[in-house]
Amino acid sequence: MKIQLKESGKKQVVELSGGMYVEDAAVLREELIKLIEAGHRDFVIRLDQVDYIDSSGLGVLVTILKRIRELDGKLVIGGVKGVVKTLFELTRLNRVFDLED
Amino acid sequence: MNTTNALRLNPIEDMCNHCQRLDLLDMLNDPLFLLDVKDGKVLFLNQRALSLYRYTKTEVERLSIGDLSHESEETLRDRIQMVVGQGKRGCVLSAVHKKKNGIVFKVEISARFLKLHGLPVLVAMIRDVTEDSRVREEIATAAKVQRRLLPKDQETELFLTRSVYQPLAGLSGDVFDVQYDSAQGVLNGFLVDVMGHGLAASSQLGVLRYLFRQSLELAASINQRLMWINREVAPFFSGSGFAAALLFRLDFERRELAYAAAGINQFLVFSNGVNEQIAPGLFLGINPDESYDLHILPVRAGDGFFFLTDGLSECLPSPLDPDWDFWRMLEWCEKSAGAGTLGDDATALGVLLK
Repeated sequence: MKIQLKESGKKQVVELSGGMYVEDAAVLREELIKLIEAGHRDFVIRLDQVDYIDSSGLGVLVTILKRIRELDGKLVIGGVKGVVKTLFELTRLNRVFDLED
Repeated sequence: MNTTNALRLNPIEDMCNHCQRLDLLDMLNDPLFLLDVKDGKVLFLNQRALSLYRYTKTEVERLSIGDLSHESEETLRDRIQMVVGQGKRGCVLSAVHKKKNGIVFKVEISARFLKLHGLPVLVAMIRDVTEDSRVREEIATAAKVQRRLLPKDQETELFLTRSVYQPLAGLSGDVFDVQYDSAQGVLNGFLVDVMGHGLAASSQLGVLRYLFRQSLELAASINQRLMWINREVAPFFSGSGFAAALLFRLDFERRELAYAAAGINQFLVFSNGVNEQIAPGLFLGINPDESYDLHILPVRAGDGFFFLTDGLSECLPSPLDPDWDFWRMLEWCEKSAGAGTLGDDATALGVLLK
């Protein structure tokens, strides 16, 4: 999986591409925690180019969401489609995250 | 090799006086010693090693490896030769060492052979792993307890259960439980996969198992019981993490399987072939007010069910072979879990109706 970090105003935009498996999840977690520790509170994670997420990947997204909400921050997930969209719907995470196209 | 104590001059101290190499080694944060390969005499202990083994600098001159190691001369000789044989590559080995006061402790040694001012020397970096070993032993004990808490495979006139349970390493983040109420003709079951595999996950599993047992006392439908478990477990997941779960109730009188899913959103049904049953539902520990759907599936004699955690379900062949039956599925689960290639805890619970 490839992780690209961009800044859009005060928002941290994290663009992911490829498959997200257990090893990638650990890397992503560290990247996001570093950003939170640096004081960022407004995040968009783009999944347009992600073709698969396993349970550890979902775990990281949920963990980060919990942490950001505790800090009164905001996390939006964008570009969810295909298998990933089905997974979000099946696990009802589509009701937990703020989703955007 | 002579490993007995003997007073002697230390050639390394003399030779290295000018190049300050020993000063550098003294500054290291890790214990280190130099050994004369010819006779096993200790040539140098840095400050950390002096502190670890409880010797003073002046005592080093009469030390040999036999004073630092708790192992036999034969073992020491073999090990030194092994390190010498590895040459520049060096090697890492485990051993039991001892302090001046006789206390023995486990160490990990990273050692290599080199020539220092023409003298054949073994350099050994020491790591005291006593605490690591204690933690590992505690985890191994906890893992055994986890396994013993699991119900054994059951067989009655109405059904049989078969299970596969393979933690990824040490403690598992998975658990299952089944309770058969013969008076009512009902089999209740629960499969859970907590995020992670460590001590926190193990504690959370204990809570969930307890709540599952408690929920059996509730006069409530299966989805209401799952809602209750989710609400009760919420404080234990407040920081981070969550759990995937599936709760089921197999009623032999009514001939129906009731189930509610929370992140374990699919299972396999063997009834005239194999079908994947889908049940949406949010993980436990995310939203304490989450509601869950009740699903009912009619069943008949000969039907089978397999509930899997994602360690196995994510490896299922796709599409599934339509000729697979309950026993072929069990065989696949056992083989996959035992292959040592999975990246997660692997648990399967199968129920076959007679």
